[in-house]
Amino acid sequence: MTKPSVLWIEDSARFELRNLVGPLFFSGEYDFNLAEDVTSAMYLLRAKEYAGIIVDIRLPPGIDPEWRRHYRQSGYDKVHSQLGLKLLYWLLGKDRSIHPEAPPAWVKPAGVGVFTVESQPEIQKDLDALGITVFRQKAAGLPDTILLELIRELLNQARQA
Amino acid sequence: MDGQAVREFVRHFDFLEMPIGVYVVAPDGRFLECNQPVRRLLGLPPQGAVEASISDFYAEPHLRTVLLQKAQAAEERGAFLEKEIIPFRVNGQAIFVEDYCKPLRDPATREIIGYIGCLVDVTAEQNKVDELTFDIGRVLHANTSTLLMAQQTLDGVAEALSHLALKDAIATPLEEMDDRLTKQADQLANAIDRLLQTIEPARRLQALPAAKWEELASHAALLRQVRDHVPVLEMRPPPLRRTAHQIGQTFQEISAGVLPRESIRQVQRAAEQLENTACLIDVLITRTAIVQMDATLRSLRDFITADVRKEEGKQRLSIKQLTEQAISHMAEFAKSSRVDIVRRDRDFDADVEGSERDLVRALSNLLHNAIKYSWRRDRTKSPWVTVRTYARDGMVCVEFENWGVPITQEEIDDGLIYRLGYRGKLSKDRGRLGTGIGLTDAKRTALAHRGDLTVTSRPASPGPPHPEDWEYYNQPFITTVTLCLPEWGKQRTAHS
Repeated sequence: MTKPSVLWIEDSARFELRNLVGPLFFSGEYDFNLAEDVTSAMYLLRAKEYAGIIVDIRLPPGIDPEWRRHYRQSGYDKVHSQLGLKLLYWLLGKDRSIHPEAPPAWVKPAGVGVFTVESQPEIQKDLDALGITVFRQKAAGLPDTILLELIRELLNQARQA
Repeated sequence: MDGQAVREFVRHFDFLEMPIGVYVVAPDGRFLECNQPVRRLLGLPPQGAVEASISDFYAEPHLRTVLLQKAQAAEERGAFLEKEIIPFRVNGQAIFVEDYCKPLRDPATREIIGYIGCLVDVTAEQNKVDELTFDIGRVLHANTSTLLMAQQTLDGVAEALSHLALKDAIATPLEEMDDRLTKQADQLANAIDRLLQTIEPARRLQALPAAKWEELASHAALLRQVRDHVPVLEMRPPPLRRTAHQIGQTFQEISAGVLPRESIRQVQRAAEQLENTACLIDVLITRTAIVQMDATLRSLRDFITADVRKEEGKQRLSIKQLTEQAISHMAEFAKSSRVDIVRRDRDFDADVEGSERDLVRALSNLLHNAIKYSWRRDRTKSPWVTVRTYARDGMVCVEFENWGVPITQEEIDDGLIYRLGYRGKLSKDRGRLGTGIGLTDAKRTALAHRGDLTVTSRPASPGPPHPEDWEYYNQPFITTVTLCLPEWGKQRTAHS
C-alpha cells in the first residue's frame, strides 16, 4: 500500500527540531520529505502531490529570484519577511503577484497546517483568510510526537473535507 | 522673500534662537552665552547673565577635562565632538545630556578662547538603555549558569555512554559515529530476522501477538535501510533511538522460557547498543550547540553593553597576545566542533593601540564564525581554520581562513554581512546557529580603532559551476576574513 506523502517546510528541522522526526520515521506511516527553504518547497510541490503540508512562517528564500526579491524587500530578515506566509498566500490564495509561476492546483487549505514560533493570535487573521485550521505554536515543553500528531490531525481533516 | 533674501536673513540669524540647547563657555567653563533650552535644562535664570560654570553640572567633575581633550583631538582630525553622553547633576537630580562641542579659537593667535556646543537632554533614553542592558545582563548571566549546568551534565552522560574520556568522545568524527550507528542498526535487523526465520510461527505467537511480530518486521526493514529512509545524518539518531528502545520494550514483554534465551539476548543487546550510540550522538550534537550558544551569549552581552560600560582607556597592545587570547576563548568551541585551529606566523608580533576587551571580542567573534562554518574535507582529518598575522602598509592584520560554507558575493558587495542581525543566506547550512552579531561587532570595532574588516569568499576549486547555477553555492568555499589595525607608531600608507 502506498504511504501518504507529507512535506515539512522548516529550516530548523535538521538540527534544533531533529527529535521531532524520530516518531515520524518510527511510525513508518508516511513518505516524508523536508524542504529547508521556500525555493526547495516550491520545487518539491511542483514535482509531487502531498497529502499533507506543514509550513513554518519564518523561512529563508533559497535561490529563486522572486522569493529572494521578497526577502530583500523586507530588509533581508526572515522574521519580518514571513516568507512562509507569502508561500501560503501564493499556494492557497493563488496570488500570482507573490510569484509569477502558477501554484499547484491540488493544494487545498484542509491539507495544510502551520507549525511556527508565532502565537496563534498574531497570525489568526491570515489563517482565517487562507482557510487554515490546523495550527501549533513551537514552544518548550512540547512532546517529541508533536509533528506526528499534527500530521495525523491534518490528514484526518483532509480526509473529511 | 526670494532665495537670496532668505540666505541674507540666515546669515544674520541669532544662533541662540536655534530650537536646541546652545551654549558658549570660556575655557574655564564659565557661561558666556546660553539660550532658553539650556537655561531650562540646567535650571538657570530665564534672563540675564549666568553666573555659573558648565563644570558645576558634571556629576563626575574630572570628565570635563576628558571631554575637552576629546574635543581638541576631534578638531585635529577636522571633526568635532558629537553625541558624547555625560552624566549631569541639576538641583540634586541626576540627568544625562548629549553634548556636541568644538573649541572657539582666536583667528589671529589660534589660541582657544572658549567652547561652543549644543546640549540635548537624553535622560529618558539613557535610563531605558540602562534598564535594558541591566536586564539583558542579568538574564544572560543566569542563562550562562544554566548552560554550564547543561553542558556539564551532558559531559557526564557522554562519558557514560561512550565509555571514553570526554576529550576522546568529542574528538570522534560524527561521520565515524554515524557509520557505527548504521552498522548497529543492521546488526539489530539481522538479530530480529534470525529470530523470525529460526523460530516456528506457532511458537512465536506464544511469545507475542501477530501484530507485534509484523511491527518488528517493519522495524527491521527501517533499520536496514535507514540511510535511504532518513538521508540527513543529523536526523538519523532520533528515529533509531526510538526504534531500538521500542524493540527493547517489546522483548521485555516476552515471558521466560517461550523463546530461546540466547536469541532474545542477542536482540536485546543489539537494541541496547543502538540506543546507546544514538543517544551518544544526540548528546554530542546538543553539547556542541550549548558550547556554541554560550560563546554567542557572551558576545551578545558584551556587544549590547559595550556603549554603557565605563570607557576603558586605549592601551598599547601586542597583536600576538590579542590573537592568543581569542584562540584560547574559542578553544573549547573548536574542540567540541572537532575543528583544529592552525596558527601560522606564530612568532610574528607588532603593537596596536586599542581597547583590549573590544579587540579580543572582535577577534573571538571572527574565529567563532570561521570554526562554525567549516566543513570536513575528508574522513581522516579534522577540518581546520588557519589564523595568520602580518604587517602591511602600516597596518597589522589578523586573518582567519576557513574551508566550508560560502558567503555570496551579493552579500559581501551590498555590505549585508555587516548588518546587525543579518544571517547569511547559507549560514543555516548543516544546522549552524547564530545571531548575526559577530561580523557587525567586528566591523564596528575595527572602524572604531581606525582599522577595517574585509571579507572574501571564493570557490575552493575554480571552474564550473557558474554562480547562477543551483550547485554553485553547494560547493566548498574558502572564506577569508581579515581585521587590520594601524600599527603602533607607524603612519598608514595604504590599505590592502
